[in-house]
Amino acid sequence: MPAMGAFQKGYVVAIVLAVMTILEYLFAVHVDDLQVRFLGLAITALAKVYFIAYYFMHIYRCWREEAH
Amino acid sequence: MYAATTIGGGLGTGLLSFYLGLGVAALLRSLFGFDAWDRDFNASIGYIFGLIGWLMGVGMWGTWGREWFGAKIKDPHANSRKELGWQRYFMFNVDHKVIGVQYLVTFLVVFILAGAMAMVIRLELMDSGRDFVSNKTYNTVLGMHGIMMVAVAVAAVVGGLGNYAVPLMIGADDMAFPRMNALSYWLVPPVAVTLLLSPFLGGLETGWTAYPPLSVLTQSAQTFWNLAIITFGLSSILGGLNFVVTVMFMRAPGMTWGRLPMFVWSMFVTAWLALLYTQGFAVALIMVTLDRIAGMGFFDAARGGDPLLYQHVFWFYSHPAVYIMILPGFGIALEVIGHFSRKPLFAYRYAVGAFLGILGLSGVVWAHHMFTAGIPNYLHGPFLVATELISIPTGLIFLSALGTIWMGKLWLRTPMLFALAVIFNFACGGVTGIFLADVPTDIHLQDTYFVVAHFHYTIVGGEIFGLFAGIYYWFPKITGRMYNEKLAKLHFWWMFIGFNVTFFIMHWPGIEGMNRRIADYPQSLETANLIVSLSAFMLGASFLVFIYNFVNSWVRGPAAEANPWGARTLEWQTSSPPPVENFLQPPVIAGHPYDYGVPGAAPHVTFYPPAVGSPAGGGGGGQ
Amino acid sequence: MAVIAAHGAQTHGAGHMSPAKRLQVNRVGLWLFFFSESIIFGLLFTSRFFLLGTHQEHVDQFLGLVITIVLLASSVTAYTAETAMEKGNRKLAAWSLFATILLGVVFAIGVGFEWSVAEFGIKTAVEGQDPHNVVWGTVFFSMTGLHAAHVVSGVLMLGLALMMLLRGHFSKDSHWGISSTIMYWHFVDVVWVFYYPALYLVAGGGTHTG
Repeated sequence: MPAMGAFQKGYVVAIVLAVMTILEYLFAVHVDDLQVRFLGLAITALAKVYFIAYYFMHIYRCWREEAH
Repeated sequence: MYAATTIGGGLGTGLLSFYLGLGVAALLRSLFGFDAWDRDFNASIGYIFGLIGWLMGVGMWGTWGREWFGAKIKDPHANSRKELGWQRYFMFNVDHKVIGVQYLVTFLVVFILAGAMAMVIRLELMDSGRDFVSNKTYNTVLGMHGIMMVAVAVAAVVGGLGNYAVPLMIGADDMAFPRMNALSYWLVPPVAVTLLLSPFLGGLETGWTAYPPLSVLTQSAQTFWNLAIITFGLSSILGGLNFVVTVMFMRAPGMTWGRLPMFVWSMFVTAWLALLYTQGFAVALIMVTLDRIAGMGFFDAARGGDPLLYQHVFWFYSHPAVYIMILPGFGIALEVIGHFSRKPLFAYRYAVGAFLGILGLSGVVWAHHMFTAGIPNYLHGPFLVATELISIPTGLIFLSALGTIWMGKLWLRTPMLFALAVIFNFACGGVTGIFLADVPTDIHLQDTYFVVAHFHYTIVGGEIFGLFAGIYYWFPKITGRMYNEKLAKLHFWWMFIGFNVTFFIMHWPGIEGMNRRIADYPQSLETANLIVSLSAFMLGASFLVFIYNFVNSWVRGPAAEANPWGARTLEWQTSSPPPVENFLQPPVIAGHPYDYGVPGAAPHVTFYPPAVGSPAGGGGGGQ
Repeated sequence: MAVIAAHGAQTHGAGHMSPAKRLQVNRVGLWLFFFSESIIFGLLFTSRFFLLGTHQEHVDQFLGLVITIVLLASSVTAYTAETAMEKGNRKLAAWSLFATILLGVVFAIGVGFEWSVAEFGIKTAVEGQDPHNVVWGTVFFSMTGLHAAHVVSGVLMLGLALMMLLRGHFSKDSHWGISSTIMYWHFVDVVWVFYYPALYLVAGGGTHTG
């Protein structure tokens, strides 16, 4: 998302996260197979953490200082 | 009296906050419809309040806390002023050299106290039957000896020598987070006080491991003990974090990873271990505390809890903890052997790889403490193999040490003697470890004095000998005075012989099945125990020589030169003791720290711009 | 001597670090702190599966989803606050911080409400419950409790940051106090990303599964 302003970027990520959360919930409630459910929840959680850590917490700034 | 106002202020606000916490807890309890007073619950809340009050009172408020509210803070470096003299050591001081001395002296005192408790244990075990102390007292003394020695092993080298030497050795003027460094230290006195008070609050019954269900059910000082250890864990985590960031970011120009002295490498790996695993002990004790004061059921089998959970979480920390203890010992040993053999350290890269290998393996071996605890059989094999894999990196460290000694011009001063003893003792501790890692022999040896002998060989023989190697090695740097070499050598031989006789003989009753932690044993083992006790008293007495030498040399020893060992590393290139800012000129690193006698080797350090009248440069190609 | 030429002018040490380096050191230190804290959370998380497998007792799914969304929303306002601060918009930063604090308080109240309506306790089995699963109460209350303690401390720190901002501290180029607090807040959100499925969803939203 290079062309986007910083605020907009945050909102897009937030919408993605919100959609993922709701999908996660619906997925968990409707899937009966324990293994599939567990795997799906684990993958969703890791993806959400990636989004939060990268876009919200700016983990990349640890090794690449942002240009002002 | 700056010192009196600091300590008095800390104690005052600490006690007031403690009582405030008691009151708040009572208020909350009555609001929610419980009895207003429950000793362990109210005291826990009081402890947390008191701890914060103590920290703020000793000076954190003025140099740090006010900042959180946008107020001006006092210059944190003000307490480093030279003219304060000895009182600097009793203040909230951010200078890593002062903090190092604070740690070192505090933990030497704890070491002596815990050693005295070992004397009580050996007195009781001199012959079978109950003689001197009651079972309850014996349990308390044993538990206190265990936990205090663990604390010494975890913090004396890391907090004391590490704090003092690491920033100097990498050419920094302080740690990355100086105020957090002071915080790590000032968390320690409440821990020590709470631990020392535990005999008066009901004693200890669970030893240092605090296994449930006993630790949940016991009517002893368990909750206070838990809180103290959690606090100590916090101190250890913050200290570890500080070391990691310091070594990553505070190295002088030219100090590449390949040029770090071995001691710095060992501290770096140790700091990672403290940062990653100490939470295990804290979480385990938080669970015990919740079970005790909030009626939770983590370890209550009747409610679906599982006491084994405690052992998993606890050993998840406490096995890596033994590497927190031993790696600094190895680091000091390699450092000292390197400098006192007067030749380049053999297999530097392999030794560094060994440290990193231990860091990697340490997290996957914990269940070897639980072979007899009822873990599933399919876990035995993997943990046996993982545990024995550790001997590969350990072997590389031995390879480095022995290869350095080989054909070296050994300079047998006291630090070198202690460093060589580390190698000798740990070889014995390592070999006995194999019997404990192997499931079949471990089932026989578990919970016997064989285990006690084994871990004393590794921790005392490895780390505590390393601690003394470090103390004698850096004594001239820290104090600016030279210790008495004759007394130091007397201390060494006395301690070495006392230690080896005590713990070598101790394997014997262990193989015969003598239980640890029990105040009594079959009569047939009396001979062995008498020998062990007598030599343990001898071992204990050897520290009197050390104390006399340490105190006497610090007060009136002859002044030491900047670099009495002719060593190449950075800390010896500044004055003894170093100025507050460590180096008057910024150091620049160009060569390897151990290139003794290598033709054409660049000096390890030069100063930029070259200092006029600075101590002899780092060229020292031989002595 | 090229090394000296290259580094000679460079300052060294904590006392005279450049602001950019100080910031990087602080940032890495904070990340290591998160790393270290996530092990505390991770051990409790693992204990939950060690003790109960994927079994769970009945919890209010709707309430769980709502507080999860509230916490996510608070992360968005926190992000807005930090971005506003980077662009020098103090007013937006202050309002966003305020909104974050508000949402944090709502989350904490939600957890408190959840506790008060929970159909399980920590002491004894309720009617028709397998007594071996009573430990669910212990697991649920300690995990949400530890997380809520972090939420409350985060709210307090955000409050201090807002107070300092309103008093005129912080600027476009120097606002580590706000950034670090907001990173802490995101970290609290990250923990919930794992805790929410582990406590609410892993048994398929129902009870007595696994």
